Amino acid sequence: MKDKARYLDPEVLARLSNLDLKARLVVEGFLTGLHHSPYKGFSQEFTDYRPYISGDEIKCIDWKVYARRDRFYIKEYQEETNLRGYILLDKSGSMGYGKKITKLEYGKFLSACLAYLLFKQHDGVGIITFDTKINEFIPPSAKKINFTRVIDTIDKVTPGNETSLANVLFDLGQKIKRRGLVILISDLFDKPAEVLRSLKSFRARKHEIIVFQTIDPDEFTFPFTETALFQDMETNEYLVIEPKAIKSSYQKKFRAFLDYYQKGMLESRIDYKLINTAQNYDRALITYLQKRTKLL
Amino acid sequence: MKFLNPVYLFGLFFITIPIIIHLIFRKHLKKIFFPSLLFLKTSESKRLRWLRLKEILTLITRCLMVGSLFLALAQPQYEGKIFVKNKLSAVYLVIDNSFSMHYGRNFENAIKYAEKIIDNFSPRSIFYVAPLCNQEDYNPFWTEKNTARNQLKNIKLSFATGSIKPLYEKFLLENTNIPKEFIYIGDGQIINFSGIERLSDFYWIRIPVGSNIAIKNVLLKEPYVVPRENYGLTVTIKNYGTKPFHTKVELVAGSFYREQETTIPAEQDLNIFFSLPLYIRNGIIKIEPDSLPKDNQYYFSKSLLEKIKVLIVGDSKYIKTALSPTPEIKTPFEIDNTTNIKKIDLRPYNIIIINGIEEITDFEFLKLQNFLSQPKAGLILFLGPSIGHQLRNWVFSYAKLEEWLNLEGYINIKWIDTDYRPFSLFKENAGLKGIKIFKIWKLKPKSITLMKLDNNLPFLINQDNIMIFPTIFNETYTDIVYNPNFIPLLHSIIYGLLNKNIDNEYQIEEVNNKFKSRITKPGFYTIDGDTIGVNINPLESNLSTITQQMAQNLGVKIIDPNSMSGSTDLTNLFLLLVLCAFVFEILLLLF
Repeated sequence: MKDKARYLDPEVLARLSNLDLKARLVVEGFLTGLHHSPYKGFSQEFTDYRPYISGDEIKCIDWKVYARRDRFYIKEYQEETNLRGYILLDKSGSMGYGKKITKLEYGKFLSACLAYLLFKQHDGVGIITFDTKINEFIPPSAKKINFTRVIDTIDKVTPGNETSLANVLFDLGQKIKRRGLVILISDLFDKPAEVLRSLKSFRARKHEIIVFQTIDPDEFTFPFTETALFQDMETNEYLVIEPKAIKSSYQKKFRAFLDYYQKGMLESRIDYKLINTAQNYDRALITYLQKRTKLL
Repeated sequence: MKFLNPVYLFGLFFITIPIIIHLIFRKHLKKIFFPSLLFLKTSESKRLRWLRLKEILTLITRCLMVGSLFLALAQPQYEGKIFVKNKLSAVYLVIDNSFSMHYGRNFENAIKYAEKIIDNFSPRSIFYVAPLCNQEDYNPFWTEKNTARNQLKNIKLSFATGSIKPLYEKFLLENTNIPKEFIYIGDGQIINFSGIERLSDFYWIRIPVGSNIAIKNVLLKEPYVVPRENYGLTVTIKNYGTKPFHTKVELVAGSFYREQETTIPAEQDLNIFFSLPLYIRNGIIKIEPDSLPKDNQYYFSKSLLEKIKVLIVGDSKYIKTALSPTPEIKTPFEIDNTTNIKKIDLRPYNIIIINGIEEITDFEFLKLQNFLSQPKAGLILFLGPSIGHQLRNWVFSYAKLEEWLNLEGYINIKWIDTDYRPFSLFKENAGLKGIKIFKIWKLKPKSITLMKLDNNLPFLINQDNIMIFPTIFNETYTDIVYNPNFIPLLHSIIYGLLNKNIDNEYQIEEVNNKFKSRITKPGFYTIDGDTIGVNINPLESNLSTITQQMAQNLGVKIIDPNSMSGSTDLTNLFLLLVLCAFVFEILLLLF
């Protein structure tokens, strides 16, 4: 069990190549730590038989099998829900930043984990990748084939151009008609006011929203010391910067930027989670599960 | 703007070095991809602007530093007007009237420029007008404009050379209420600046110079050998220039004409020899072409042979032959001989030679003393082995006779004092040293020794107009009588005693009764329509002038006389710029 739990560490996970496997390891490793299994239930779709054990409800016994085999068997059904999960993965240039693991890689793992979790819980899962515009859109479905497509799509994502998050969210608002769970994984490097406005419009359409803002540790600490040529990963614009001179001011501005989002999300009743890419995935997954519990 | 060392201007290409370093540094600046420059830009936009500005300022500073350094090394000179109109100053105005200013109209121009300078200054300015040479003839003093202008007219060209040093030292001691300036108008020969290390407030109005060839010396040589038919004239020419100089030396004496063409090597002397018949008494030597002809046109004159009356007392065999071999051959000597001077009137004689007599009486001694008190009278004494008491006492005044040496072999002449003018002809003459002496007095001289033998034995003693040889000149005592140097030695001793130079320097005397006495005072004289320079300092013909570099080292500001503009040295300004740029760069690094 403990071996599986170690896959929650992004660095360890980065060494694995199969995204599906990664997601499976993360989720199962994560779930192992929980006290009850929430994903088994009842529905109309038969899945399997199992022998009756003491304590099972008698109404669950399949009497026809008893008649043929003279043994008690319990009939299991696949649970069915109405939840449609939309995972919005930002693949803009800025998401390509990171030393050990980039923000995009982290986002991809997180997306895969969430997709797997949704799939395992028989929720519909879809994926939308975007930078200045929507690149991929796979509508949510609980079918396995859809899940495979989702994982493949996530796997193929590479860093793109500039971010135009507000516009993308606006477009998506037009496309997603049915109410669902929208999970946004992004560094949110766009005009904060517009991004918040777009998210609010989603919220207004009764969507439930979880925002994971992925930030690299360097963006918090700004550990650079030597004068260097800093190049913007989205615009390719560059500046010669003396880090020592601007560090404190930068950190102040950056903190204010994060605080603005945090405050804005709170006011809009949007679940917001600031993710440091050096942290394990479990915090993000817990956030999701708490949200799901509220929804069901 | 002009440059003294323009070659250093190529160093300006080094300005590209800071630019290249800047570009390389920029190219090699560590590149960091960062998600967004949004917060970096907004964080410190001012700071970034300053960094960019600092980068550019550093580049400019470094370029300035390198550029200024090489410009300073090139020694830039700014050309501009030096004397502002109506400037109030105490002006020390020195006019170069040395001989070299004879070139072209240099001197007249110098006076003109001086007038122009005086006019340019304010009416309240004061002037001290002094010539470079012969200041004692002018008695300069501080005065106002008009008097200064008049003083200029009195200054005449000189035959001499002059030095700026004493004038400048006097200038430094002058206390004036207004700023003072030293203005020198001249050709700026190096010799004029000798002894000066540093000048300030010194302006040189530069006058161009001519060529630099000069007759350094003209030497007449009497013939020493008989028969006397010709005499020699040697002209020494100095080429002060840095290139060989091809010239023609002409000797004109009435209808007698000789010329020699020659090339004088750079910065060297060259002797040109003419052989002249005895009847040529005077003439002119010229060098052509030359820009300063007056110093290269010399008059030479040879004195008439003066008869010298010689009395030989004692053995006259060899001495008489040496002085007058036969009656047919003309020599300046009239010779008598005797064994006793008691009954002879000594007054008509110029030279008495006493050769080996044993004793003299008191009366003879008094007669000889009386003779020696005459002008142009001399005595040559040859001492034999036997000397009486009276003669020994007389000789004792000049030397102490110690012992007579009958040598088994012989000793040679070791040394002769060639600094004694009549003996100068024995310079580098090894023939004298081969003379053998067999018998001789060992004596201790109390007078000047002019010749010495081996073991430092004195051979010729001189005091006033007496010469003493410690032996007799015949074959028993010495073989000098067979030596070719015997006649010149005897001649030179006689000329020395009579204060006559065998080597007559060029001189002018009694030409067509125009001059009553010999002219020896340096100057210019007109003889038969020719201007002749006498005893001109040949250094004045060395027209090497101080260069711009030398002028700068001395602190002299050179002014062009036509435009009255001069160069201001900007070297220090650029060095200051280098320093400022350096300090500025350090400040940039600190901030």
